[in-house]
Amino acid sequence: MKILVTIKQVASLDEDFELRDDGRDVEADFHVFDLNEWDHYALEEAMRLKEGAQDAGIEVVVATVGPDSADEELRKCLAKGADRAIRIWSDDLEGADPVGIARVLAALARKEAPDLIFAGVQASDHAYGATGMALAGLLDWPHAAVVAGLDYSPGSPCATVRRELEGGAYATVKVQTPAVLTLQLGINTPRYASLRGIKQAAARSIETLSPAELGVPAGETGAAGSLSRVRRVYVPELGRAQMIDGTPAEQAARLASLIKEFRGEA
Amino acid sequence: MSTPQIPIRPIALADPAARAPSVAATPRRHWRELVGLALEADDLYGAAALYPYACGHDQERLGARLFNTRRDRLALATLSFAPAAVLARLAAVAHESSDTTLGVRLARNPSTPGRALEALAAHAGETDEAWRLWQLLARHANAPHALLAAIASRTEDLAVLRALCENVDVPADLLTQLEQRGIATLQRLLAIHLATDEETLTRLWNSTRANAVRAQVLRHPYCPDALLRSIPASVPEKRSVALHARTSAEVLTLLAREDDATVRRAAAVNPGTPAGALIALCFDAEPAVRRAVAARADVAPRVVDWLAGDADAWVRRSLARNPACPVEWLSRFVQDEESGVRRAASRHPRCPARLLALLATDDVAWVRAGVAYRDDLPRAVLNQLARDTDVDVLCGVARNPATSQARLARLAEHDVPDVRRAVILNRQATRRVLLPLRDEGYPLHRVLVFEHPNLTDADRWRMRLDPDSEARMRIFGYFGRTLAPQTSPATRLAHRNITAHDLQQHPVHDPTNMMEPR
Amino acid sequence: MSGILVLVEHRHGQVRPVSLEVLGAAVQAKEASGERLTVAVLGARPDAFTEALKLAGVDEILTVQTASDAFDPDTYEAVSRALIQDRSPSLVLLPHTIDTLGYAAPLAAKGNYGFTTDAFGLSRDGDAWLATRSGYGQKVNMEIEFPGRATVVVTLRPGSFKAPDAGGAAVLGSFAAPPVAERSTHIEFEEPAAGGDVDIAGADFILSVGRGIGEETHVEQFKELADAVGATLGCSRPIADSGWLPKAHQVGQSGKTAANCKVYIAMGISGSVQHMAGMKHVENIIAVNTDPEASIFTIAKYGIVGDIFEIGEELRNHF
Repeated sequence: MKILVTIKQVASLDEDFELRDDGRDVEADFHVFDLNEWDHYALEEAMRLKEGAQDAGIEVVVATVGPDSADEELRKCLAKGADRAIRIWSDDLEGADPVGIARVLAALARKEAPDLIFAGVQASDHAYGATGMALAGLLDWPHAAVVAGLDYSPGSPCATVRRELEGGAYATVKVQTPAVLTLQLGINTPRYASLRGIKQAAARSIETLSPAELGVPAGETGAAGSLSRVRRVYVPELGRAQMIDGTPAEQAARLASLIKEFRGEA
Repeated sequence: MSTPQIPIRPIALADPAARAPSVAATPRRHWRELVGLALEADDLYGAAALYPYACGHDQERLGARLFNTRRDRLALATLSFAPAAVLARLAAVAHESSDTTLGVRLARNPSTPGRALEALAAHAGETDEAWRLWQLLARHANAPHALLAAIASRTEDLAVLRALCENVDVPADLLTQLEQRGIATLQRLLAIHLATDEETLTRLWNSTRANAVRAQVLRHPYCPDALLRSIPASVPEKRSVALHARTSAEVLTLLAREDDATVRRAAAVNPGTPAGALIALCFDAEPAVRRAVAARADVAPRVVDWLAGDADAWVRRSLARNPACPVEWLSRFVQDEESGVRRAASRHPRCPARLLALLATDDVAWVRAGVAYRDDLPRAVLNQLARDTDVDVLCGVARNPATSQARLARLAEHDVPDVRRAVILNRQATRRVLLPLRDEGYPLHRVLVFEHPNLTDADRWRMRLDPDSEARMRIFGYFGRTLAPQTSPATRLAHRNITAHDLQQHPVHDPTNMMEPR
Repeated sequence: MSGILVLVEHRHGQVRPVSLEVLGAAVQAKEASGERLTVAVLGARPDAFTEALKLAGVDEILTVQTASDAFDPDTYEAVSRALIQDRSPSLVLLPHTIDTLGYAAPLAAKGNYGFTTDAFGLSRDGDAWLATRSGYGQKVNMEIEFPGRATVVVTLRPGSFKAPDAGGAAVLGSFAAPPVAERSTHIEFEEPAAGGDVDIAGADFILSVGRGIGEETHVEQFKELADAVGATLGCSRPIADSGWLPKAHQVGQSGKTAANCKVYIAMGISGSVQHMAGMKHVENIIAVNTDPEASIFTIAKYGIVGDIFEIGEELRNHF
């Protein structure tokens, strides 16, 4: 049995950054990279199934669409016990939106033929929440989003998932497999990689592929395969916190009225 | 128990002249290896940690690694735990490369030293974007007074002036100058600022009708005595007078009878309020007032008597924990139906052993945990708590200085990371218990083990290959301080003095993202 | 063909308020493009929801009979696609919700419609739609365009638009749902857990203290304050490590995530990365700190530069 976990290297910004000259993104020097927070949970869920079913022999494959820098995130997953890591890239993919990315992942999924595909609900940088489910749509697989609990026996024709709804409620749904699931924070407690795992991962090889090698025609990648385009990026006026001025007594009075307002609506 | 702060045990540097050459060679070899590791690593942190301790060729090479690309410079400038020497060099680089964004990041970084801030100011210029730099410099804690004065004299920008008034290190004479400019929106900030002197406060008082500003003047430690002698008109002002340390007993007695409960509560809190006035407050209809009386450091046995049976659990809770509450009353509080009261009793400094033993069998885990964190536990009680299954109780046992090493070793293998961390934070944990914890998956735990005084330097040296970049930064920083080759006896002496001085001034070392910043 | 299409979300027999906000956005869009606004509602008994949809600006309400009232992604996708094929709207508006996270992207990917999510702004550029959304954790705004797409699907951020007033003269009709191969089955709902002892994960209002607290006895003060204002008390790691509060109160990477919190007051917490990991997603964060450059202010909605003891003491007077 095989579980494919798709991950993303996300970019965050510290204070004081500059926009690119073309105004369509932030200047690259200001990007701070990390593994998407949701992906820790997605990988952990795959590992949980793998470790819970020793006889079934589950292979966990992690994959990402990204340039060289993304190898670092794949290695974090290998260090935690993933079996194989794949990175897909070509420079054309630079302009891809979530659906453009999903097209490439779909080609990989057709090649790898996993039994389950896990992705995070969304990425911590732009929070589209689209890539995982777009992948499901392109593969035309059964799917469920925002899964906070998973009950699955390897080889079973369906999985029972608990979707986390607004306001702390849940919906239990039975989904046919193979399926694509996007997993929510808190579905499990992600492990820390052991020192040995990290050292071993540093030496492992990562399979690198281009979209063409996966059979995605040139005219369907990157911007051409996307359903949206960023026209421009700008810094909103009200960025940071609204500061409450005045003497401590005045500040506390305002805080008290905010609390009462919020509580009134609770 | 105080906030956990584990100082690095100072390494006594033997006089190199007296050392045999083979012994002296080890630090040199180790230093070479660290520099090599720092230069090879993908990340900057190791190189940044070593930079302040390197000189000559080493410093050049580390500098080349650190300051080569714009991306790296920008990243370093944002690190609040970057060493001052690195940030100072970056200020020079910002000027050389005309990088205004880099300059702004440095001005924002709380660790940027005063000399670097002066350099940024000197090259700032007058562009529209510069105002952000001026505002950041104006509020920077490390900005030298001369720089702050210079900024004050050359700006009319309200945001910059406000930033000055909010800067805790601005001296009184500068605040006086700012007040004299008569800008209404600065009044509140000046009334709040702790360095504002009595004369300036008087002028503020006279220049405003706003109750909020006046109430703030009345709160100020340097508030003129004259203003505290009479009872003001508004409730916020009355509250301020009721809280002030120099308010007379007579005035406090009057304020203790005010209609507004918040004023009475303030009087109940004030140590200067005489016992006579407190009597009525014991029976105040408003629980918040009675709670304040119960928490007083001078609470009289008579008052305890009246309040011990109070229907409000917080009153009883405040009493039970109050060191001034006579021990005899604790026997009653340990039977209280509210677990918060029983827990409070477990934290009373003189809670007797007999009662601690009773609380150690309480149904509520948080009460038992209160007992577990006491240094003065009888052995039998500690052993009993060690068999508990609740995480909070076990953490207390793991932190307890009296817990046996054998027990600590077992707790060091507990599933729950909080319990393992508590063992690491136990100052009495021996080397034998700590060494297996060097392999903890959580980088924070590895750093805490590294910093434990009971590890030897050889033990620490084996941790230099930590895969986590922030952990490696702290580790390299430690070795940088202790291993850097000294070029002259004078430098060596200076470094040794800096090391000891640093430890006294900053027992908690450079924060990272793993630890809480100061 | 043209038009604006909205699909409505409902749960437990009620149209969800966020759908009415989407209608508000749709009415604004209609004013910009002059197109007809059609609202569709799916369900086992969809007529039950039509009254709530009779709002000013709505031209047509379509009921679609489906197997169940409970949400199913395949059903909503199939019906949406059939409606789009039938009406060729230029714009399809949905709320950005847990349910639409499950069907909007597959719908757009299969149909090759223009697509973006969580937009808080909509505008028109000539004949084309533009959407505005956040980027980089809300540090920038992104203007999104959909070159060459005749139909654009956009999910809208809750709280960004106002519902229209009641009224209007909507025409009622029905639409036949296409056959749907359902590959998932709704089993049941589970309501949120009630009360409980100390539950950071379940608490909607949290007041948290950090190192600025100083001593153990001061924790009692803030516990009393939290009680008085009706909040669950939380803390940063050093407080829990010292045994001053139970581990269950610790918010952050090595503690709990404030998953259901709506209001978070951070007192004396500078905002280490590991603490913020547990609470940065909370919609209403109010931070109190003496340092105006503390990281916590970069994620807070409101900030107070001040001493937590003074603010705490003054705040106490209001409850």
